[in-house]
Amino acid sequence: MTKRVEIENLSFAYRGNPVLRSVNITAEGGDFVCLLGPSGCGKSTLLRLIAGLERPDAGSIRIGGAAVAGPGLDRGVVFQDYSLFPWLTAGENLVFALEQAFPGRRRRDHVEDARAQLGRVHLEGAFDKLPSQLSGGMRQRVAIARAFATDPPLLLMDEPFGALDAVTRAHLQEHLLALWQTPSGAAKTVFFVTHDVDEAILLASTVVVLGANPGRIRGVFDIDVERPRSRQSLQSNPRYLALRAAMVDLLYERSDDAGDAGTLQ
Amino acid sequence: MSSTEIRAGGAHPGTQPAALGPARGAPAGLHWSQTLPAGAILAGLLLATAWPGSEEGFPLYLVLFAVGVGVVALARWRLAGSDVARQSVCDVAAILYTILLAWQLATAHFAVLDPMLFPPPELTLRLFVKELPDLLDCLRSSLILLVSGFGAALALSLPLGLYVGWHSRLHHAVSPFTKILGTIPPVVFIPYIVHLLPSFRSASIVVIFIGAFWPIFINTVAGVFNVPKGLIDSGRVLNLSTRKMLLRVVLPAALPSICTGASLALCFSFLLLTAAEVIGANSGIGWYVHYFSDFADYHRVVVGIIFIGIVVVAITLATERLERHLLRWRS
Repeated sequence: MTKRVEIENLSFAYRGNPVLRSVNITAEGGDFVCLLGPSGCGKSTLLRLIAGLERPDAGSIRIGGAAVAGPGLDRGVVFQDYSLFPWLTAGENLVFALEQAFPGRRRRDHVEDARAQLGRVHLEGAFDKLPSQLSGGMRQRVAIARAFATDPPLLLMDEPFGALDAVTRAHLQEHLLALWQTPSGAAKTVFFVTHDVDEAILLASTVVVLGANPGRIRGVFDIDVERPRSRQSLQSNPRYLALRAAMVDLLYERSDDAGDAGTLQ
Repeated sequence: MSSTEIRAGGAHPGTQPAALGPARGAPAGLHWSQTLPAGAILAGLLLATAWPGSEEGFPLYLVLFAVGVGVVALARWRLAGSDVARQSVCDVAAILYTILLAWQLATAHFAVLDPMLFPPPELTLRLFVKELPDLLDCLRSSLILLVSGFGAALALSLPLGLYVGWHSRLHHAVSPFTKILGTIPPVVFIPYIVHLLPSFRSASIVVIFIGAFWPIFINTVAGVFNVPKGLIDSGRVLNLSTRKMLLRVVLPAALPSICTGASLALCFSFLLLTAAEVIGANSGIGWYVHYFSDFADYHRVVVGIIFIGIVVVAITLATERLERHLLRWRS
């Protein structure tokens, strides 16, 4: 069940300020698209538009041919914070999502399913733990497990590892790739927002670099580096180094622009 | 009042971390100087009771009460999880004994205070036990009013607050009225409503209802308004219906604020209950105090006040426990 995502001429303004202008992205089913850019480039807004949490001012987003009209369970979303409801245990958070996605099933099946999904991120023991009793990394693992649990064709992740330390972050990237590379996971189209170049190259099949004021596409890179990728082997891969240099150039170019604009105004 | 106060003193430090003193975990970790005051003052108190005062007979109730407090304190001391908790049990007992001793000396022994206004502890305790059945009858009558008024206010203001807080247009439209109506002290409604309604009981219920309604409503609306946007988004991406969003996301997220409003409302309710009873009731705990002060029976007035104190402490402790249970998910 792969879903092609077509974003056409998308523009969005917030209180009169343009946030995104004429964005065009096409992602084939099973693509892992990283939206890379500095803060304020509208990458999170773009994700919220795909999620249906905001309405575009112009242009359209189509998922599998159907225009996005609002939020839906065909898209699993992971935020940086607040993904989990703090008054529900980790397990109940999954059960809640499963009840929404599969209303007809018995609760016992949901609980069993939730347990299994937590097991896939190695958190079997956390079923009865409240989010406040878990570390930040564990919370995000639960959130990822929940996003996968409802088996949506599309995954939207808004800097899900942004608040984590480097080591935890590396572990979670591996967890995510492991899930995405399973037979059922690889069919999923992923949009992943980050400001971390290395994270983008490690995860993505396509990196879209965005620039700010207003947000627009600066460059699109196909990451033709073989999987499975490991952090260590990437460091010496010439293709990786070339891609990284090109992206860093684009990102810094933008900040030079902003500096010039600042002195002019 | 006293025995429940010990509970209050013991309950809070009991939640503190145990690793404070050097002798942590050891039941006998407290230095003798820390437990001495309570014991010394108890001894003094018992000595004072044995010393014949102006009062007739042996103060049996006072001795029993003092020993009872000691037993409760000892039990709490044994159950306490930390030296800090144990220390505070001793301190609370010491303060209580000091009050009893001062009271006993000032009334029974030296008659410094007017015996008509200040009954000695022995007399008060004896009267308390004698009056207890009547007091409990009064309490039942009062609680019926309190529960009806407060319950109706909660049942109406909570869903209304959720709905108004969620719909921002309604929220903005209603808020000027809330600001005006919510700030009128509900006590001023009492004389008016007493005339407006056919019976005193219905009037009391309505006054309590008004007093409890606004704090819950205002805090519910504010709580809904302040729910983190991220939580709402998490609900929206799950495609929740409005009903489910309100009940499963907004309500729990606003619960801390709702609890604040509800405990405030409960305080108001109690205040209004006793005020209303003073004005026009023929039963109830507020009526009891007012009735006997009209007869200049200040001994019963003191007993009534102490009884009200115990009731308030009991209700407060129960609601605190309920609140802690409801909000246990907060770190």
